[in-house]
Amino acid sequence: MTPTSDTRAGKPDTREKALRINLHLHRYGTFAEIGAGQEVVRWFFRVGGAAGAIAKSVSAYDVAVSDAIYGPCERYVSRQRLQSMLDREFDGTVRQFDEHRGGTTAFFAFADTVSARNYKGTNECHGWMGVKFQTHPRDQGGQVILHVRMLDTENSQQQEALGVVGVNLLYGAFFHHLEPEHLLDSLLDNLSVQRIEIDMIELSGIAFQHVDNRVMSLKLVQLGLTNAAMFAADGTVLQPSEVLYKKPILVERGSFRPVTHVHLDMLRCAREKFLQEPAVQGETVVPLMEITMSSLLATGEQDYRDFLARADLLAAEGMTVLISNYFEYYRLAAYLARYTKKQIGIAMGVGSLRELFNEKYYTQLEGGILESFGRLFKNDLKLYIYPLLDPANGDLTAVQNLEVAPRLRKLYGYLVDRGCIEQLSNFNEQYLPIFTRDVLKKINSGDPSWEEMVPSRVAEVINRCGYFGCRQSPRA
Amino acid sequence: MKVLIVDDDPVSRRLLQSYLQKWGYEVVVALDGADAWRRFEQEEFAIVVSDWMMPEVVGTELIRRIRASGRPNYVYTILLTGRSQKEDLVEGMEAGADDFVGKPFLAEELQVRLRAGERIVKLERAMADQNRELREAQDALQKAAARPSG
Repeated sequence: MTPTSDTRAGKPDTREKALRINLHLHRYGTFAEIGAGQEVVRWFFRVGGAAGAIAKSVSAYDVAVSDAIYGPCERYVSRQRLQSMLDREFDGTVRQFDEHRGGTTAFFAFADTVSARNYKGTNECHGWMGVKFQTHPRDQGGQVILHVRMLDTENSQQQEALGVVGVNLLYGAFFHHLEPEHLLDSLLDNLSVQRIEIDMIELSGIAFQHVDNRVMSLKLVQLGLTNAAMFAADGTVLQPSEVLYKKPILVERGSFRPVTHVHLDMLRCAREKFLQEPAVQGETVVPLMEITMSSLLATGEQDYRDFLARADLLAAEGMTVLISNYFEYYRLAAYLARYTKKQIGIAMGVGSLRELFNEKYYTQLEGGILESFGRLFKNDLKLYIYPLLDPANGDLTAVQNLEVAPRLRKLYGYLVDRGCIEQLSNFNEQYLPIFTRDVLKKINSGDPSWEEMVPSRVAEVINRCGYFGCRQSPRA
Repeated sequence: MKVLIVDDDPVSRRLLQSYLQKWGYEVVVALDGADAWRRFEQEEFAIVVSDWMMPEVVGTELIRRIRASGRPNYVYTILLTGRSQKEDLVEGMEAGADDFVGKPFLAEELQVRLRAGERIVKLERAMADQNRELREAQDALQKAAARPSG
């Protein structure tokens, strides 16, 4: 059996993984851990043979020690701190050992900075973890960093789970870096999503030069390692709290296939109204375009090219993208409320509002639709509704005349009256006849009038890249 | 039949206008209470459909002015109200409103309430016509009786 393959019986357990790394003749590196003890390196000491793989193990527990080694920082459990740990330890290891064994050894540095459950149970249990490594002696290698949320209720269980993830990360980086999907899939080996959530991963460096981290974000959600992942317009993977922490959030859900004038007008209108909310005035609002997994899977088999096309078009408009598994809006709201106590707004079309009042979606809740709305509208969450124009007869459907099931009419009226649901009135009339399905049809049939239905930057990208069957490509 | 609709919300205004025109009414649209009062002073309307909460001249104030205007024909008034304002229905009725439609509204409900208003307006007009004819007949009889016989 080669070190890069899993056992015939299936995936190796944590002990086997740690041992294989220890016994690998060409791996040598440093472990640096802040908080939650030295849970990862402990595995390597426990299984034996650690002298073959470990040059040094550091636990910078006191912030003064941490600052002295890695320099000052604002937050100790942060991506910045992790990066400074990885850079310093990796450079230090290479500098110290390169001369006498650099020709035969692939060096690495593993680091984590973690906040496990405190005595009172009042803190956010999460951490950053990463490995910077050479795939072969003296190459530039790669780096994997990830953010974990520990879901166990006991500190000791969290530490244990953290140790397993760390071993999985090292094993995956060393033996599965050629198959990033396999690397991702192996991160929760011998664990479950009930214990650890991985809500952000970033692969970088020569070893991962062909990896698109947006696809990795999608896979995190697809594999169930998290229920939501985010990336910025420039493709940078984001950890949600980095973006959402203590900020008012305005989110628009859609398939964005492709993003049209209507999508952007909906966000603009909702943003204008949202900024008038007393609790939002003077604040920096975080706008998000959310795509649900169910929307991505709408056509059956996951099409990553299709996903990237939508992401590229949203990027052309400077949008931050959230991919989520939260089909139900109340679950999306709960997810966002994890990061902020500030007001949350959701922009949607009146068709989505009608669906929101469809009781079939709440049969799994003991309290049914009432429970879902109780969860959705707490913390002053507000829905901003874009109207729908029926192109056949010119009829407009809005909050004011939306028909819901008779037994829900009073509930609907109450929510409207209370201001939980607000009709947008500042929309651009000219955009009302635009429907995504028509844009797609026109692109497919070669009718150039679709270009008037989307922002010019979006049209340019569709044409240039030949997205959605556009035959004008490649123009550039 | 000529109807004045007034709502400071452009979407509500548009929906009301669209429905009423589809149902065959002649519609005049006012942007708010003050605008509605200006239009009311200039034209005759059989029915007024007014939002309650509006800047400056609220729906109840508009209806008070309509009732105090001393127009010869009765003007049927419908107030559009949010749920919480239902507690204030007494205030609306005291101001002179004839009926209420909750917001958000069902098109069918609005239509039947307008029909009810239309019936009352027509009845009132018919009665006024009959009264006028009766008065004219009575006047004619009195004149005939007063004429010297022989």
